[in-house]
Amino acid sequence: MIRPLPPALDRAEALRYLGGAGKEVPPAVDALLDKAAAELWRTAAPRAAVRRVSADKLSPLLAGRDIAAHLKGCDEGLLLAVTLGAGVDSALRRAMATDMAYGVVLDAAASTLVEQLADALEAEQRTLLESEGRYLTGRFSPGYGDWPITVQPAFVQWLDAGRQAGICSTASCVLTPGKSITALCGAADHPVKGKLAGCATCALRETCTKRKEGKPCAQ
Amino acid sequence: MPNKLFDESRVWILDGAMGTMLQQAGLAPGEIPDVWSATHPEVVTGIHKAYLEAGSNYISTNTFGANGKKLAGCGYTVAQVVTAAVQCAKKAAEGTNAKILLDIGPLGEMLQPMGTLPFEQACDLFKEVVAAGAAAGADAVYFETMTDLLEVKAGILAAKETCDLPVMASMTFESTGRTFTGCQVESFAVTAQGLGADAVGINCSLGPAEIMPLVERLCAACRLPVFAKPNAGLPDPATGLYDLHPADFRDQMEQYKRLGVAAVGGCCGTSPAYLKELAECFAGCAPKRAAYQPESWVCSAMQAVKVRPGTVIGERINPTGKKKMKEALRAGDMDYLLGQAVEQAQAGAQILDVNVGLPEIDEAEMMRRAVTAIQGVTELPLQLDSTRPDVLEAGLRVYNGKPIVNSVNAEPAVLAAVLPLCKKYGAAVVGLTLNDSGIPAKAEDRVEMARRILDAALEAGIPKEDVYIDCLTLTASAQQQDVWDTLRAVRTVKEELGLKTVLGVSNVSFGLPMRPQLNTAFLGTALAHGLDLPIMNPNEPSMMAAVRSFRVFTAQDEGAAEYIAAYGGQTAAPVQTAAQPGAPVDLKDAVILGLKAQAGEAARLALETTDPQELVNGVLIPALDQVGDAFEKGTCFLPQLLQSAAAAQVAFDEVKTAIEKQGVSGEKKGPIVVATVKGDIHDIGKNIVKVILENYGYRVIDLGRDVPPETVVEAASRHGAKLVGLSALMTTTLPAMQQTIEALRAAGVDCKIMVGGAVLTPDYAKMIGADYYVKDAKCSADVARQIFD
Repeated sequence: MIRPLPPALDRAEALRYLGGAGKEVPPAVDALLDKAAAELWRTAAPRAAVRRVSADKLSPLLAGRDIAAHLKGCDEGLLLAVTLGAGVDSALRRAMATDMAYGVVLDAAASTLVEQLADALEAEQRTLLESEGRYLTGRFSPGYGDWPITVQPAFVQWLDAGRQAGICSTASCVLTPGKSITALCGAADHPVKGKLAGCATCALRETCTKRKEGKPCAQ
Repeated sequence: MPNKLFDESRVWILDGAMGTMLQQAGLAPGEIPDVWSATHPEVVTGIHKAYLEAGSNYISTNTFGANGKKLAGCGYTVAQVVTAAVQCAKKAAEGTNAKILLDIGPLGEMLQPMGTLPFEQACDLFKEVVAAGAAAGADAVYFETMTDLLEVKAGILAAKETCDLPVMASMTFESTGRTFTGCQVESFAVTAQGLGADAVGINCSLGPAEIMPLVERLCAACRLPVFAKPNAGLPDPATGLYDLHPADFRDQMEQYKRLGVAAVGGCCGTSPAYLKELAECFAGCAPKRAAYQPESWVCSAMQAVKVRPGTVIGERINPTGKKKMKEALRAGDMDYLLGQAVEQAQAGAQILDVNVGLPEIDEAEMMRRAVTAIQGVTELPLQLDSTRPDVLEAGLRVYNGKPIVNSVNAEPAVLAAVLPLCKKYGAAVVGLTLNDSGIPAKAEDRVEMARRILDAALEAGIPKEDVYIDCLTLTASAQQQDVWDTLRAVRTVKEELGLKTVLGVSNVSFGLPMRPQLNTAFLGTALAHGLDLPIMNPNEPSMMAAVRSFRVFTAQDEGAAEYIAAYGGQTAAPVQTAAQPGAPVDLKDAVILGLKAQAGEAARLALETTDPQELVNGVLIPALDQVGDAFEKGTCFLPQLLQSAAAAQVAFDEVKTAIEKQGVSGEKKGPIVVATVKGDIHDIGKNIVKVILENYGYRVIDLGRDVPPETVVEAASRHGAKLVGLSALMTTTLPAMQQTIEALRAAGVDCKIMVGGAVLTPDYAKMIGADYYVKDAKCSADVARQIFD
């Protein structure tokens, strides 16, 4: 499924990745961000895959307490995958080989953009479900909390994400293209919020900037 | 030669979807469809029968995902599943003339450089399927729904190296005319044809109407029979159901008759009802294909280039006479090569020559690495440049697309060694008009050699349009009398033999002053004599201007659009922008502010009065520390830190030059070996560490990403590295980090090991035996200082 690009890059979020949330942005960084946004809008080919699976069939994909808590009360799972495409990976390799300062900005901008695309896809699916009188939780991704990232290859296969969006998983569960997201939302006929895992079981607890800033994602 | 698969007596009918049919028969989500050939053979045989009854002449086995990766852990071997599938097809086809196609889909994992799957491993996975299918009695091998051209190549080579069955290859394109990985229709056509596929096609993704213009392009770009297996229209985003009914499908497919397709079928959403319509529609219809117009194509997956007069081959990736390139090759520094590739692409090169020949390195391995790495950053097709067949083959195997081989000459032994490689891998070839006796002075003799090369190429099965002749530019300072004979030979080769011509332009000016002037004048003259492919430095503005002007004069550049895009708004005397006017900037400020040009200038000035070592210790290191501290405190952004590092690097280069002028070697401290571990392709952290370490004056040997433990061990011991830095971003790749550390220890490499990465913790680092946990790049510089200072 071909996806549209958002109206603009979320610059504040990209700056957060670069370690400068809320700081005054020097012109040099601003200029690199402009260049990165322009290159992404030139090289990104956003694609997505979506699949609805009834909750009783989901069990082969699930493991751990956190995803179970997230899906509590849901009778259906919505599998999503979204990617910026292989062109962005190539642009990143090019930038890293020639100008690291630009490389890290492009990387941060690309991470931000794919997150924006996932947000948009989730919002669209939520509207779709609401038109059926149903409700959707937020996104929960493989590797988050105690849901092992090792489900990634199966998750991608269930979504037929290779054929639908060109997204594959490597043997070590890295998604390709690099700027891709997979996630699972729960759906139900009554309002559901889901439950994010929190920092206790998070693999990134030591290095997470959100946690350092005192704004963990699960609050 | 009659095609092994599809004779032209009729349009052949393939079959329709297998997956759709299995789902209707009760295949559950997540279940492996291929296993059904073993567990539900009656269902699979029934589906084949239904297609045969509908009129299919070719049926595809239920083996789309029957490879060692996708079947892992399913309880059946590849051979069992493939054999069962071929048996199902054979049983269904009993008593008919139907042929059985061994169906092979993508492996489900991306090959390097997009993913981590090595090319040879992909080949081996395909070979396992092909061997089982051939043994079980399939009539042809059918690769389908491919999105990565390199995977198609691995498949075709695997099939050809395993059996004699005909090979069909089909890719899946989006309405943009590209696959998910960016592969173009023409790139697919010329690459598959070069590799010896027997038929090419397009399947899946879109309906017949949307695929039709792409099939038309496929037909125009190759001689091979072309087939199409579209989906039953486009899926409804809500229900996933396809929007074309069998009769609509037939109406849209009927349009394909005018393209002269050799065979038709269906993909997702189609069923025997659709195939029945197709069989009726194409009954009694023979394909009438427009005559193929031979073209000299070269390509990467992303870019197909038709060779035209003035197609520029960039010459910069070549160590001859280039100190920095030699250093980079010795250290295995890919970034330097990649920088050269990107720079030439931006300057306007259309093809890049790649020569990595140095006597002291493993040239074949370097060629393999360089081709993969360069194709990861540029879309330009490559010209693989070596006289050694083993080096050429190393590059030819992993090259994604159709490259040029540079070169053979008229010597029979050389032709016999290299032409079969060009044939096998579908490359164009450059023939030099020389032999063991040297370069003939006279044009006529060079043309005669070109003729011999052409004859040998045709004999080897290489089509005429893929033979390019280099009549050899001679040096005006040494062989002035013969320079013009080169041009006369170019004209004759072009006009009488009808071959494309190549010349290394810059050779003409060796030993004379103001070389670009001579080069540019010679280039213009050579183009006027029929030169197609100048091998030149695209970074030389006057030469690119000459090429762009030539394209205007020959009406290749319609409306001078390309010329205007390149030079519009410029005046005859371009304003100097390199040096900023105004007061010179203090070196420390230049580094802190990340001003590259000013840092170089300031360093040069400072070195007039300051000792180099004093400048490093008194100015550069403190400046870097100041920026590093600001970053640690969170008062500056990461890109600022890296810009400062880049500015410091320019200053360090000046320091190195100054030290060398004093007669001392400007050798850096170190070396430090860095790598992102096996299985991990997130190398941003490692790349940042590399930049920072280099800017503290250390020599860094960067092994790249997805690096096996043995490569780290080999590099660390060969270079005598006292410090090794490893990065891993994923919980799934931390074990590879541990294995690397264990391998270093087991090999007795005398080095300290520092590790970093998002999911690492100090405790975990200690547990896996690392000496240091480094939380960021600044930290890694502190560790280096402890060890080396």
